[in-house]
Amino acid sequence: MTSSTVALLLVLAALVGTVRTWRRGGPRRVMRVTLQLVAAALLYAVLFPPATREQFAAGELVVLTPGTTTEQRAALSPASTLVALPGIDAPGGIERVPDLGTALRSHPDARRLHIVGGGLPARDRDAARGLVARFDAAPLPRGVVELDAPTAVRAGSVWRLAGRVEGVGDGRVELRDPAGAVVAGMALDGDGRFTLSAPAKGAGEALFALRVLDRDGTPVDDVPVPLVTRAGAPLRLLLLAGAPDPELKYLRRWAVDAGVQLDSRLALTEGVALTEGALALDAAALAKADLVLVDERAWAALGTTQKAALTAAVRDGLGLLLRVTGPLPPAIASDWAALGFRVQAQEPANLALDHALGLSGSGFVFARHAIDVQADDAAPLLRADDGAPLALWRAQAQGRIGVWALADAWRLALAGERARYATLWSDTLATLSRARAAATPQLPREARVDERAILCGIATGDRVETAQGTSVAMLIDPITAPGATAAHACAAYWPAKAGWHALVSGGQRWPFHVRADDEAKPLAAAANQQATRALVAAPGERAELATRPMSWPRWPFFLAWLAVIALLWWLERQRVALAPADDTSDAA
Amino acid sequence: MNADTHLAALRSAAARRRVAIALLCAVPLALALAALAARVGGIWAGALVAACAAVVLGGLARRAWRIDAAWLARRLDAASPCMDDSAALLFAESAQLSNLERLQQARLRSRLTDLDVDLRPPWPRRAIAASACAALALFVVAALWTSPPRLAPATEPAARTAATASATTLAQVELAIAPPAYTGLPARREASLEAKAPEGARLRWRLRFAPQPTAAALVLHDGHRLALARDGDDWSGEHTLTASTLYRVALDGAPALADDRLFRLDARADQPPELRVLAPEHTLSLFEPGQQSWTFAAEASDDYGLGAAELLLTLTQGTGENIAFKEQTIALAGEPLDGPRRIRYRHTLDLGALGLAQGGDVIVRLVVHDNRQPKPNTTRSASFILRWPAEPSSDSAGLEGIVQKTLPAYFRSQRQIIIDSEALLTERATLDEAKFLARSDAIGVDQKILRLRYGQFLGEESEGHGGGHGHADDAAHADDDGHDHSAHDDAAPAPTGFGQAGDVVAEYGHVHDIAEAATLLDADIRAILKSALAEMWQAELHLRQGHPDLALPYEQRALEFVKQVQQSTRIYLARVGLELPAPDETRRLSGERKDLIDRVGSLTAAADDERTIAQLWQALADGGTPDWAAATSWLRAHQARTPDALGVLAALDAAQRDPACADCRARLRDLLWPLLPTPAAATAPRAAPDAAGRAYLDALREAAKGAG
Repeated sequence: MTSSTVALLLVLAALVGTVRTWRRGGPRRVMRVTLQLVAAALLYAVLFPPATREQFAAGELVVLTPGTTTEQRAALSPASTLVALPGIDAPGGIERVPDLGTALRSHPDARRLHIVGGGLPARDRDAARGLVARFDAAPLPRGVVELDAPTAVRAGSVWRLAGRVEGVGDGRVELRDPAGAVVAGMALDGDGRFTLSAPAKGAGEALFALRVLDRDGTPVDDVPVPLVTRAGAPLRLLLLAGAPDPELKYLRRWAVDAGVQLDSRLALTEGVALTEGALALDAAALAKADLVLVDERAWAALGTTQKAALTAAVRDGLGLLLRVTGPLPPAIASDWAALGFRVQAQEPANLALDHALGLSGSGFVFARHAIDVQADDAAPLLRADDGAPLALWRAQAQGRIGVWALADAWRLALAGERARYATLWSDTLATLSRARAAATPQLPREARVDERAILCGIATGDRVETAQGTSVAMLIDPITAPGATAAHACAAYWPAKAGWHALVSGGQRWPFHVRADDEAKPLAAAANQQATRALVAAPGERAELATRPMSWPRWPFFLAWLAVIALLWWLERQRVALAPADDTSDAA
Repeated sequence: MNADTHLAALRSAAARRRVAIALLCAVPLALALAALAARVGGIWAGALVAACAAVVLGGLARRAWRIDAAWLARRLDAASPCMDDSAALLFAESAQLSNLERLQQARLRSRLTDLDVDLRPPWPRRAIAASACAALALFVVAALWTSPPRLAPATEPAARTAATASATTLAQVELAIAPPAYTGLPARREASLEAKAPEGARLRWRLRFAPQPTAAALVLHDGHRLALARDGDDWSGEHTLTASTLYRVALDGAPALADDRLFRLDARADQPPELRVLAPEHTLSLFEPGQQSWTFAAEASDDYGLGAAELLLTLTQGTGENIAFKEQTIALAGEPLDGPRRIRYRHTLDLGALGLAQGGDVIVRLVVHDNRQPKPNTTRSASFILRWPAEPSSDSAGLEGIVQKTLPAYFRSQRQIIIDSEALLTERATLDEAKFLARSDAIGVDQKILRLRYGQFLGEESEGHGGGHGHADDAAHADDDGHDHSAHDDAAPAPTGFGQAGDVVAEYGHVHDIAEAATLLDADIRAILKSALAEMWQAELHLRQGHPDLALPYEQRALEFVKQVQQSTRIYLARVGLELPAPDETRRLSGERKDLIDRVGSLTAAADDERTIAQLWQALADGGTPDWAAATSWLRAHQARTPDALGVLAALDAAQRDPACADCRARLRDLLWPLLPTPAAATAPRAAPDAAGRAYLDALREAAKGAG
C-alpha cells in the first residue's frame, strides 16, 4: 500500500470522525476535532516517518572493525554506508559482513574505505590494499604497545629491550628473568618509552617477563619476552700492537675467555714482545684469519710486503680494524688515506656512551683520541651520545676496514661492566669480521596462536616442531622461490598452541616463540593499528559528497500519537459520563 | 450380561487400547530424548528430561483413558448400523426422554446385549512407525554425539586410577611436630609430609599405607635412612630436625607411593637475640665533673625468648704503658616488656664504688643469650666507654689538645746483646759488684724480651702482660731482628703500632701455647728456632745471675741459630704484592739485549665450573636426556652457595623421576636459571652475503679494477 493510499484513507477516516464528532456535539468539541486531525497526522508520521537529506561521501564504505568505541560510532554520519566486521557489538540496522571481501562484493560501488576502530585483521588487509582512504583508530588499551626485543642474541652479551607503554603515566617497567628475579627496571619517560638491558646467559631459550607497574605499584600489563641465545662461533683474531695498554689487557682477557682463537703480538721493546699463539702476516695466515686488529705503532712497524698482503687479504674478505692509540704520523695517515680514511688532528674530547652501551645515567666518561676520521663511504661503528662517530667502517671489496678512535673502553671493564665491555667488542668484531657465517632462517618476530607466521630462508624438508613434539613439514610457497634460487623461500605456519616452537633445518634447531591468544593484547592491538595505518593510501579519486534521504526515527511520533489518542479517549469518556442518555441512543 | 455391563466392557477395552496406542507412540520418543539429554548435558540432564517425559506420558495416558459418553456413542453408531445412529440414547437418563426416545432406548439396549462389536481404535501403524523412526534417529544422534571437553576429563581419571592401581597410596598421614621445649611453641600435627618447623624440633611420622608394605623407611637426601617401625596398621618414625632436608618414603614389599617425590622439611633457625642500646647514645662519653653514676640501658628481643644477660665491665686506670685493667661481670635481670621475648635492661654504675679516677675509662658491653639448646645464641653489644680524660700533659705546653705521652720501647738485637755483654766484661774491672750485676741483669731483661719475641713465632704465649694481645711491656721487633744493628739501637715506636706482623699471628692465628699448631714455620726451621730459644734461656739465666762471661757462648750460639733461621726465606710472613726478581745490576742501563726473549702464552681461559648446570639446562629444553647424576652431585657440592639448593634438588628429582612431565622440566629450568653462569660474550662471524650481495660486491671489485 503506497503512502498516498494510506494518506487518503487516513484523511477520509479523519473527515468522517470529525464530521460525526462535530455533529454529535458535546463539550470541547473543537478540541476533540482538532485532536482527531492531529492523531491522524501523527499516525501517518508513524507509518511513513519524515526524512531529511543527509550528506555522505559517495562511494565510501565505512568499515567498523573490532574495538570501535561508541564515541567513534556516534561521530559517523548517519547517511554513510556502514558495514560491521565480525567481533564488534554493532546495533541492529548496521549491515554485518563476515569479512571485508564480502562487504566489497555486496557494495560494488565502494571505491574508498574508511576504517574505524582497532584496525583490519590480517585476513582483510589484502582485500583493503589500495582502497583505504582514512583510518580512525580507537584509543589503544593500557599496556605495552611497542616492543623492540631481539629475536636472538649471542651468549653472554648484553641485550636490550626497548618499547613504549600506553596509558600509564608515572609508571615503571621491570624485566624479570625466568626465575622471577628483577634483572632490570626503570621509570617510564614522558612518552611512556623505556629501554632495558640485561646480560644473556648460555645458549638456549628463556622466557623473560616484562611487567608494567603503575604509580601505586599495581601490575598493569605482563608481557612475556622470549629470548633465544645462540652460542656463536669462535673468531680467529690477529692482534698487533706497538705497546701494551689497558685496552689490550681487557680485550685479550675477554677474547681468551670467549674462545676467540687469538694470535697476538704486543711489542714491548725492540725485538721483544708479549705474544700469544704464533702470529704470522703472510697470505696463508691472513686467508685463515677473520679479523686483524692493528694499532698505528704496529702499523708503522709493518713492512711493505706485509701491508700489501694485508690489503689484498682485506679485498678477499678479511676484516681489519685500525686502532688509534695516539697522534698519527703523516706517513701512517697517508697509508690509511689509501684505505679510505682521511685522518686529521683534532682536539681530544670527553664523551658519554650511555646510549650506545644501553646504560642510563651511568656517568661514565670516555675519551676520544685527538683525531678526526672522515671517509666518504663509511658507516658508523660506534657513536657517542652526542652523535659524533667514534669508530667507522667501510667496505673494501669483500672485506671491511674500520677505524677505532675511542681511547678507553676499558673503563667499562674496570667499572664492573665486563659484560657490556665484551658486548661492545663482540659487536665490533661481528661487524668487521670475515663473512663466513651461513645464512640463518628468518623466523617470525611476533608469532601468535591462530595467526599466520612466516618463515623465510628455509629449504625443502624443513619442519616446525612444537613443544609437544608434533612436527609439521613446511610447504614452500612457490611464489617466493621461483626456479632454483631458494634463498628467500618462505612458508607459512599457523601455530595451534602457544609456547616454544623450533624450525628444524638441516639438523639444526632454530627456536621461536608463539604467543598465546590472550597474551600481550595491547601489543597485538597496536600491531593491528600499525598494519592498518600502513594500508592508508590516497585512492585515485576524491570522495564526492552526496546527499541521501534519511528517515527520522518512528518512536517519537508513535509516543506523540499514543499521547494524543489517550487524551482523546479521556475526553470521550468525560463526554459519555456527562451525557449518559446520549450514550444509550448512540448504542442503539 | 446386561446392556450396562456390556457397555462398560466396551468402554474399558477401548480405553485400554487408547492408552496402549498413546504409550506406544510416546514412550520411544521420551526414551530417546532422555538418552540424548543424558549424552549432551550429562546424567542429571537425562534424568530431568526423563522425569518431564514421565509427567507428560502420565498426562497423555490419563487423557487417553477418559472416554466420554459422546465418544462411545459415536463409535457405536459408526461400528454397527443396528444402533440406528441413536446410540447416544443409551447414555441418556430415561426420565427425561420422550416416549418415542424411551422406546428406541429399550430397543437399543436389547440389541446391545447381542451385539458383538469391537470399539477399540485400530493400531495406528504409521504413527507408531514414525515415532519409532524418530526415536531411532534420536538414539543415533545421541550415540554419535561427541563432546571432547567433557570426554577428556572422563578418561583422565580413568587413566589416573589405572596408574594408581600399581602404586601405594597414603591412607593416612600424620606428622607430629614437637618444637624444642625452650621455644615455648605448642606441638602440632600436620596432615602432610612437608613441614616447616623450628630447628631442633622432634618430628614423628605416623603413616598408613595401602597396600601394606613389609618395611618402610624415610630416606633423607643426604643418604641417611630412617626406618619406620610398624605399629598395627601404622608405620611410625622419629627424627630431630637439625637442618632443612629433603626425604622420600621408601617402601619394601609394596609398589612405590603414588606421589613419589622428595618431600621437604624446612628448619627455621633460632635467630640470635637483637640488641638495641638505649643509653648511652654514643659509644664514647666523657666524664662530667661531679658525675657519680653512669646509666646503661638496652632493649633486647629474641624470637623465642631471652635467657641470661650480663654486663661486662672493664675499668682501666693509668696512662701510657702503665695501664691497669680491672674486669668484672655483672649479671643483669631485665624488665620484661612483652613476655620473655622482649626485655629491657637497665643498670646504673656507681662510679665512686668502681673507683674510676682521672685518666681512667669504664668500658661496658652487654652480652645477651637466648634459650637455644644445646648452645645458646649470644649477641654482644658494642663497647660503650666512659672516659675521664687524663690531665693535659705538662710537656705539651703550647700544643693544643691532649698529647699522648709514649715512651719508646728499647730493645736489643741478639748481636747487640753480645756487644753489650762484651763491653760489660771489658768494663768489669772499673765497676763495682752491684752495678755490674745491675747492668748484667738489664742485658738479661733485653735477652728475655728478645726470647719472647722469637717465642711468639713458635706459638708461645708472651709473658707478663695483663690481657688481650697488647704488647705493653715486651716491645717487639720481628723484621729487623738479628740484623746488623751495631750502628744503631732500634728506637721502636709505640707498642700499639709495633711488630704488627707478630700481632697478626697472635690475633688471627690463635696458636697460643701450642707449638705444634704454629704452622707459620716449617718443621726444621721450628727446630732451629727452638734451639735458639733454648740458648737464649741459658744466656738470660747467666746474665741475670751476673755472669755475662758464662752467658756469652750461649748468646753467640743463639745468634748463630737466629742467623740460620733468617737465611731460610720461610721465616718471613708472606708479603702481599709484587715481588720482582732482583735486577741484574751489572747489565742495568748497559744497553745489553742478549737473552731478551718474548713472553709467550701467558693467557689462559677462565675455568668453567658451572658447565654441568648449563648442560642440564640446555638438555631440559631440547628434550634430551640430561646427565642427572652429574647435576645432582654438582648441586650437592655447591649446596652452600646455591640459593634454595633444596628446592632445586627436589625439582631435579621430580623431573628425573617423570621424564614425560613437561611442567616439571620447565619448573626445574626456571629454578636453574640463577645458577647458570654468564659466559664471556660470544663472538660470531658476519653472515655471508647472499648471491645478489656477492654479485654486487664482485661487480664493485671489477669496476675498481677496471678503473685502476
